[in-house]
Amino acid sequence: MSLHDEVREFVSGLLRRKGTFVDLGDDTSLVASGLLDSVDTIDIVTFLESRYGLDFGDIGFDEDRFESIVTIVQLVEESGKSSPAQRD
Amino acid sequence: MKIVPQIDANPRLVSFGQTALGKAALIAAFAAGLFVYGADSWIEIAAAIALMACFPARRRLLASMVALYWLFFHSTWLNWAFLRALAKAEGQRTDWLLAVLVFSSLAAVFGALAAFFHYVRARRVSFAARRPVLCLVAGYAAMLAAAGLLPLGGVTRLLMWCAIAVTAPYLWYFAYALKDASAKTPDGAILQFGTLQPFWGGTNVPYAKGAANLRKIEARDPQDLSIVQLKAIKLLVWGLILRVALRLLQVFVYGGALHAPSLGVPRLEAALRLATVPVHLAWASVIAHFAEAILELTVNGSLVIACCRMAGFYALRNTYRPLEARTLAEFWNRYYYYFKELLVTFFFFPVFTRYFKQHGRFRMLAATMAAATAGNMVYHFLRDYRYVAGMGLWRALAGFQVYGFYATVLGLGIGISQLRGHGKQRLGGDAPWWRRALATAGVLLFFGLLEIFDQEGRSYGLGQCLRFFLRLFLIPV
Repeated sequence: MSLHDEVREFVSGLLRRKGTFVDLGDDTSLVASGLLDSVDTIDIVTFLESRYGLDFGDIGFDEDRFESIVTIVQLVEESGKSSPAQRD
Repeated sequence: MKIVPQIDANPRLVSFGQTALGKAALIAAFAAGLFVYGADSWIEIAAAIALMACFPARRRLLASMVALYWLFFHSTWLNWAFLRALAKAEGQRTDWLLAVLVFSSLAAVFGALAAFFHYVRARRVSFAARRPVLCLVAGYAAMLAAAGLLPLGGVTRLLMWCAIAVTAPYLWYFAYALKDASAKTPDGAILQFGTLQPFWGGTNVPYAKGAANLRKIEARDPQDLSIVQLKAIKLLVWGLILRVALRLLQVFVYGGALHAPSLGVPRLEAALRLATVPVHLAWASVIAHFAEAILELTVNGSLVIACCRMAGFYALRNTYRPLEARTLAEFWNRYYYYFKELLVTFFFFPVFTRYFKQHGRFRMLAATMAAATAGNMVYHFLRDYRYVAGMGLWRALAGFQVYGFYATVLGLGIGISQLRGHGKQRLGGDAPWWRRALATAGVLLFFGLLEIFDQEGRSYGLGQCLRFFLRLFLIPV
C-alpha cells in the first residue's frame, strides 16, 4: 500500500472511531473544520512515529501539517522517511 | 427539530447574503442581535464588520486597524483599576500621565515582541528560536517573580508592574504569534497585530487562536462569507436564548429579583463560607453553580465567536454540546475549546513529542498532566498577577493551593480518561440509552464536584473546600 493510501486509511479509521462519516478528499480540511481536534492529532503523531519513524522532537510539531491528507503525506515525504520504518 | 433554524443551509438565503441588499440585511440583523445582547460598543462592531464585508480582500488588514482602534478606545483587558490604585499607593499621578506610561509600556512590549519575532525567523537554530514560547513565558514569569520579591518602591515599582500588567493580557496571543514565526510563510507584523486582542473579543485565552488559524478559516469567496455570516447570526441567536436561560436560573434558583419566587439556594461561594449548610442545599448549590458556569461560558463564547464569524472567519464554537460528552476528556474538549487548544498546543505537544517516547501509556499521562495540571496552573498564576502585587510572591503561591489541587485532580481524571478511551470506538448513538446516560452522568458529576475546588482567587483554603465536599456525602468533619 502506498504512503498516501496508508495515511488515508488511518485518518478514515480515526474519523470512523469518532462516529464521523464524511466523504474524505485529499484536501478535506481536518483540523480547521473541526473534523479532528488537536487531541485526535496525537493518534496521527503516534502512527507516523511508529510506522515511518518520524521524530517530532526533532522536526517540531506544527498543527498545520495535519490539516489534510495531502499535508500529512508531504510531511512524511519531506522528512525523507516515506517508507515504513524498519523494526527490530 | 433544531431550536435555531438552519439558515446557513438554505440556498436562497445563502444566495441572498451575497447581494448588496443581502449583506446589508445580514449586518443589520447581527447589529440588532448585538443590541439585544447588550454587547458593549455594538455600533462599532457592526461598523467594523460592514467595512470587512465591503472590502473582503483587505479583511485581515482591516482587522488590524480595528484592533488598534479597540486598543485605544476599548482596552477593557488592561487593568486600569489596578494601575490607578498602584500609582496612588506609590504617590504617582493617576491622570493622563499614567495613560502615557501605560501606552509607552505597551509600545515597548510590542517592539520587543516584533524584534523577537524577527529573531526567531532569522536564527532558526538557536535555543530561543527553537523554543520561543518557553522563553517568552519564562521571561514573563521571571519578571513577575522579580516584581514580587524585590523591594521596589515609587516610580520603579510602578514601571515594573506597568510592564507586567500590559504584557499579561497579551501573553498567549504573543505565544501564538511566535509559533507562527516558525511557519513557512507567516504573516508580517501588521497582520499579526490584528490577532492580538482582536476586536471580536475573548479573554486572555485567544479565541480563534492565532494568525495561522485565521489564514485557514478565512472565507474564500462571497458564498463562503454568506454561509459563515448566517452561521454567525444563528450562533448569536443561540447565545441569546441561553442568556435568557442563564438569567432565569439566576433569578429562580438564587433569587434577588423583586417579587420573583426563588428556591433560595446559596451561591457556592457563600455555601463554602457557612459552617453548617443542609445537605440538600449544598448539593443544590453545587449543581446550580455548575449549570451557571456552563451557561456563562457558552453565552460569552457564543458572542465572541459570532462576531469573529461575522467578520468572515469560520471559527469553531468555544462550547459545543458539553452535555453530550461521554468521557472526561471529551467534556473538556467540548466545554472550553480554546483554553484546551492553548494547553494542548503549548504544553501537551512539547512534552508528548519530546519525552517518554518508549513508554506509551506513561507518555500520554505525562503530557496530559503537563497540559491540564501544570499548564493550567501556569496560565492562571501568570494571569492573576494582582495577587502577587498585593500579597507578595510566596503568599500568592501558598494561596494557590486550592487551584493546584483542582488542576491535579483534573489532570489525573482527564489523563486516565484518555488512557481508557485511547483507540476505542466512541460510545455512539447506537449504544443503549442507559449506558450513554450513565456515562454522561458520571462525567457531569465529576466536573460538577470538581468545580468546588475551581477557586482561582485566594479566598478559600483547601481544608474549607474539602470539608464542604465531604459534607455532601454526610461524612462528618
